[in-house]
Amino acid sequence: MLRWKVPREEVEVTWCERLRRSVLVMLLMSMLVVVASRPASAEEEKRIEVTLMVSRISDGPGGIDPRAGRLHQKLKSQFRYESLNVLQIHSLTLRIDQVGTELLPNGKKVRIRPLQLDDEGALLAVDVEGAVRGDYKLRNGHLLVFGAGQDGDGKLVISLEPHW
Amino acid sequence: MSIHASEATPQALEQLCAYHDGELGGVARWLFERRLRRSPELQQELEELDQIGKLVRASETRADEVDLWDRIRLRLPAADAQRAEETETAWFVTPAWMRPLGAVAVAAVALLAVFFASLDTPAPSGRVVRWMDSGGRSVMVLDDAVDSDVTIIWILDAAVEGAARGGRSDVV
Repeated sequence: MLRWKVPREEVEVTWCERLRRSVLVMLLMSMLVVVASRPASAEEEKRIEVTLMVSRISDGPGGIDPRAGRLHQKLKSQFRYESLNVLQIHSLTLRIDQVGTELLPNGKKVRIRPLQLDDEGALLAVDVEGAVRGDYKLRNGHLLVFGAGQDGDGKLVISLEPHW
Repeated sequence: MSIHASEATPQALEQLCAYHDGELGGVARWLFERRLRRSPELQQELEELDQIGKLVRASETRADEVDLWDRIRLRLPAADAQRAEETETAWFVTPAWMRPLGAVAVAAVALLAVFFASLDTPAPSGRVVRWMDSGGRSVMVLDDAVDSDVTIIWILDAAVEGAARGGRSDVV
């Protein structure tokens, strides 16, 4: 059987070098073990369920979408409209600092990022692209409604409701 | 330094100096030590060399110490003067007669802070919006304190500004 003898470059490895390599390997392994066994911090475990509803109000016919009952109760005393149609409903589960993005019917995006969750409520950063962005401190179940500008002959309404 | 005639060879002197300075090693050192043990003159000579070395080192150390202390002493008054100047500047703002009043004011503020901190006041309602940027558009915020489970943020179009609360028919 033919065996190719590959010329090897002789490298002199001193015991000091071996020791250094061994220590490095042990350090890396211990770091991996520490990272793998690290319990998730309380901040990381906090999750917020955000229900995002995109609706459209207009003077046209269509009635009130029953899924938007609560929103209608809040809006009807402030604005006049004949129909309220729910266009999208999204449920986002977000950790602190995790960004949830949804595409709106008008091609814009809405981004939600929980910044903090404490006894007073959840601090959410919300960016309705092309309309408004801000930080909002909401209690559990608080309804935050954005009138996000004209959409055809109606108006786009974005509402979000956090739960935790 | 008097080396016996029989020992005072240039080679012996050279070896003695080398031995004294620790430059001899191995067999040469062992041979010289043998010779040293047998020769009281060389021993005395070595002792004198040791003494001279100690004196030289001692004088060098003293010279360093004096120099170091001089440097420190030169800087001490400057540091003291600077500290005094800072103290003067700090108190210059407040006249001496106002210092007790200032202390009383600080104590009062601290007491008030403790008092209010001890009250378990709930978070003020209506503080939903912490920060907002509408890019120059007019925005209406409806945050009813009574019905505080909803906040409405409404971007106003130019044609419908002022439509809410009393101008409802213009909104859509």
